Amino acid sequence: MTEDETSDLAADYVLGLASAEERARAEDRITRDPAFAREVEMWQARFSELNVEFAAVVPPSAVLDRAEHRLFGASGPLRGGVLGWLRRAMQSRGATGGTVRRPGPAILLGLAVVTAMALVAIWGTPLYRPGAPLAELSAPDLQIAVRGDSQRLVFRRLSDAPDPEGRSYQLWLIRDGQVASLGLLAPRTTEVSAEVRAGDVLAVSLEPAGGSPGAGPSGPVLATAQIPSL
Amino acid sequence: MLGVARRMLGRVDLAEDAVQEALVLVWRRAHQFDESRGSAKGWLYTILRNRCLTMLRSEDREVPTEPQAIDRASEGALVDAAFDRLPSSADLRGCLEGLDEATRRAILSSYVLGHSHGEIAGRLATPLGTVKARIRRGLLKLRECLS
Repeated sequence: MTEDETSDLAADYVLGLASAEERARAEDRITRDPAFAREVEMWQARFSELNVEFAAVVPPSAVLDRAEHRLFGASGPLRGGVLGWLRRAMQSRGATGGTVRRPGPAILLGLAVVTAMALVAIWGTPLYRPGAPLAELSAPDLQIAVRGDSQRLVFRRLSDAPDPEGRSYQLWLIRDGQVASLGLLAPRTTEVSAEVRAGDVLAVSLEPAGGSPGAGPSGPVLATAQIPSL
Repeated sequence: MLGVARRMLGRVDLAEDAVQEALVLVWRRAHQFDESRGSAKGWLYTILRNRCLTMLRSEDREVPTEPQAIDRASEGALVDAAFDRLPSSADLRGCLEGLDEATRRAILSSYVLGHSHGEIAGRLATPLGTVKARIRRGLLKLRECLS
């Protein structure tokens, strides 16, 4: 196969033009042919720009339920951890809101937490590096770099966009299934005294001006990040 | 992720299935991720798109085949929106702008909507061979421009 034919096949695979049979052959070749794999990666990287800038869409809770069930079964070891927190949050909302289960900020937060955990697993190594932020919270109009240590956190806004009119951003710390407010996000830098451990999850939500009326997020959770090490 | 899947599959229920499958695959294949070969975000989207494409190409999926079942205006809007969202500084945007409109739309339709050569030919009412040749030339030009 010539260089051009290799590139053609890689492009067809990435764009989605290849048939099911061609896709299977391409996936096999990726594992055996480094030059072909590099060509595929080039096209993937270039076209992935078309996937960004999407407005956040909240999947219904059933999506997470089904994924979780397939991964961990009915009583897997992670059920009592972060996913357990999700369930407790949902049940708590049901008790106070008069419904058994309903999609809401807790669902979004839970799904985002699972994604954050998956990303930590993907990297395989702690995200923290000397000089790098401890964590980053990133949403379409909001980017926050988080630095600090086990006693304090400093949230620095990297984006210039002001808070949406009549709304406030609120910071949260999630540990062992419990969610605690870290207060509202200031325009530039927010310093918070808090005991922080590896594995804690930070989150930012969009709330009514002045903050959530309840003990947990009442509005959409825009971003989460897990603290891998301190 | 749900937005990308919905854009490709056109149905919310199928998109949710695809996201669920992708989350499971992400978890199971986490050890295969190699940071030196690309970003985590790109890897996630690759898994999701592959899942969507498998669903699109599978024989048992309900694909609207009647011409009236295809919402061409909606598809065109999705393609236009994806292109318009590209930053003006993006190489991909600059290189796509260097293609004629029919070729650009055909290439974008394949990536954004997951359309095959045959689906693109059907929508453009153009012979399959012509569409394949057009896309081939466009990809060659795009590759030269991007590299």
